[in-house]
Amino acid sequence: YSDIAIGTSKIFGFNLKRNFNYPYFSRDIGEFWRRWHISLSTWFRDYLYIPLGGSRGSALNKLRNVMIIFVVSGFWHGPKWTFVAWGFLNGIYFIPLLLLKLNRSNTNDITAKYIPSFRTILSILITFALTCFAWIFFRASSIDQAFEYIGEVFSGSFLPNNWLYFHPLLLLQIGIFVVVEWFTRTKTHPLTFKKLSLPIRWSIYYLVVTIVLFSANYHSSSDFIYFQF
Amino acid sequence: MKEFVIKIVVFIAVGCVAYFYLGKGLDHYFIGHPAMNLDHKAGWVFDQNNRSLDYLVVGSSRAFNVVDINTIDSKLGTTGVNLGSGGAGFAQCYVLLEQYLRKNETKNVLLSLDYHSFHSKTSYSYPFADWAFSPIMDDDSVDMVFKDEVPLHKYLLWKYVKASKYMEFNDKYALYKNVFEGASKPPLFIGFDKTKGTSLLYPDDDTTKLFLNSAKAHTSLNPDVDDLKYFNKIVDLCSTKNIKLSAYIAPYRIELYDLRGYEKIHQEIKQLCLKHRISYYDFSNCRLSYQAELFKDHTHLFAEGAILFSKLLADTLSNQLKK
Repeated sequence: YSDIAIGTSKIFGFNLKRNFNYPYFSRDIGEFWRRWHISLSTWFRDYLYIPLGGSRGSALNKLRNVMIIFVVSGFWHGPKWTFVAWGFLNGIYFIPLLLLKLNRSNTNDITAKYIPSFRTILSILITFALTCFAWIFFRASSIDQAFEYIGEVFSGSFLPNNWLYFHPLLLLQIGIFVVVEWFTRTKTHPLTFKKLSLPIRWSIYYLVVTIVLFSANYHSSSDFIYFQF
Repeated sequence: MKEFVIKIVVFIAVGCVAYFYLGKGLDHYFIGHPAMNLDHKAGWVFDQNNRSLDYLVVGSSRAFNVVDINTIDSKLGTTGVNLGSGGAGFAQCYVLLEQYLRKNETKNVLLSLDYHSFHSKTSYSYPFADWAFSPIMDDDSVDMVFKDEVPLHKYLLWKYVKASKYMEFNDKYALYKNVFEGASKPPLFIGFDKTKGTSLLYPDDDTTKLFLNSAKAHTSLNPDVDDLKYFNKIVDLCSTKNIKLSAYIAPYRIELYDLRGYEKIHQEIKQLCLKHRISYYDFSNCRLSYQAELFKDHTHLFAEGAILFSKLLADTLSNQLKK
């Protein structure tokens, strides 16, 4: 949705700042929160975190400030305990980095041209897994449902009953998205092809539009998740 | 800004042209692969050819689920096919019949009639399964049906940006399934090969439910314009091909279907059939109607009831069908 706002504004000559900077390539939670929903997180930093004292003061003060930010940002999404739990969990993830002073250890982009190091891949996967685990609480309708879902994930029956989600076509699409985003991660937007000729650029646009049009669900209604916010 | 708008207009125009030809290609592909139409009987119907039959049964679920071809054929030694499809209005019945008769022959057509046959748009949730006939939309007779049954904006979009049909119904025309799973005759079609197009209903079906009659007494048939149009087209088609057309009303479950409101209407249907020289058989209030255990709901017989009704139909029409 941020891309829609940025693209629409660009049409009218306004250049908005990027709001999501490839967050799922983050190597730790600190980097994730510097890349995810940048407008919101910088607002919380400037108007809540810094007035509370920020990273100054004792370790206890720092922890307090961090937990307040994450819990409040959870609460910002709505008056539900699941959002608070999600925020709290992210705060818990952040604490070890803060205590070990590693919260700003990954401020630069990954420099590998093609495939990153094994350590980087592992960091990315662990960070991704942690954020996905927290998303369970974000999307659940209640805390009970979240724990029920977690129980199912770690039960022996999860994978065999969910092979649908590992359909070859779906895996191929995910693979294509990951590869495209990986190789364009230093650009503002993956589909910025200024150097390519018009026929090639338009061919890519037509391909993307066609895939979207042939994949959309036209017959069941579901609200855009962010309408509730 | 002006330059941007021009670019967008050109982009959309080029896209529409590309989607027109992409749609034509997909039409050609799906016409050649009727088995891809996995979810609807139309695909099985289009796949039939060079058959010479004694009779065809045409109609809604009151044909599809209620007339068992194997029962009639084993009793009379005839060859029949059931072209009925659930929730089908006359428009869909006409398309299926017309397309079938291009590649096959029959001596008789048995048409299922009801009050709601003439009010398909208010009686059925999806009286014309547009997606099932999308690949053949360019055919003149099918195009006419689309024009009558589908909202104008969709008709124009599907006609001139042909690929848009397959975008909207991408769940029905899943090309990727063919790529990853291979093209093969779907179970639905294999079933129809055995039952000759009939689909019988059984008591352990999860969808069993009771409908209570609305108890609304209709004073007149007052048919919908399009339903009457396609009823007449079925009559004309049979006349042109020298096919004997007969009509029947299948049994209702009397305790749930207040026929008092429909006596006048059944008389009107009878008069309509007489006017077109259609043999008319009213089984709405026959002996089966009083055996509640034979019915799934107020208008559909379970398999046992359908077999009994089919025997009754066979006995009634034996002279005609055996000719």
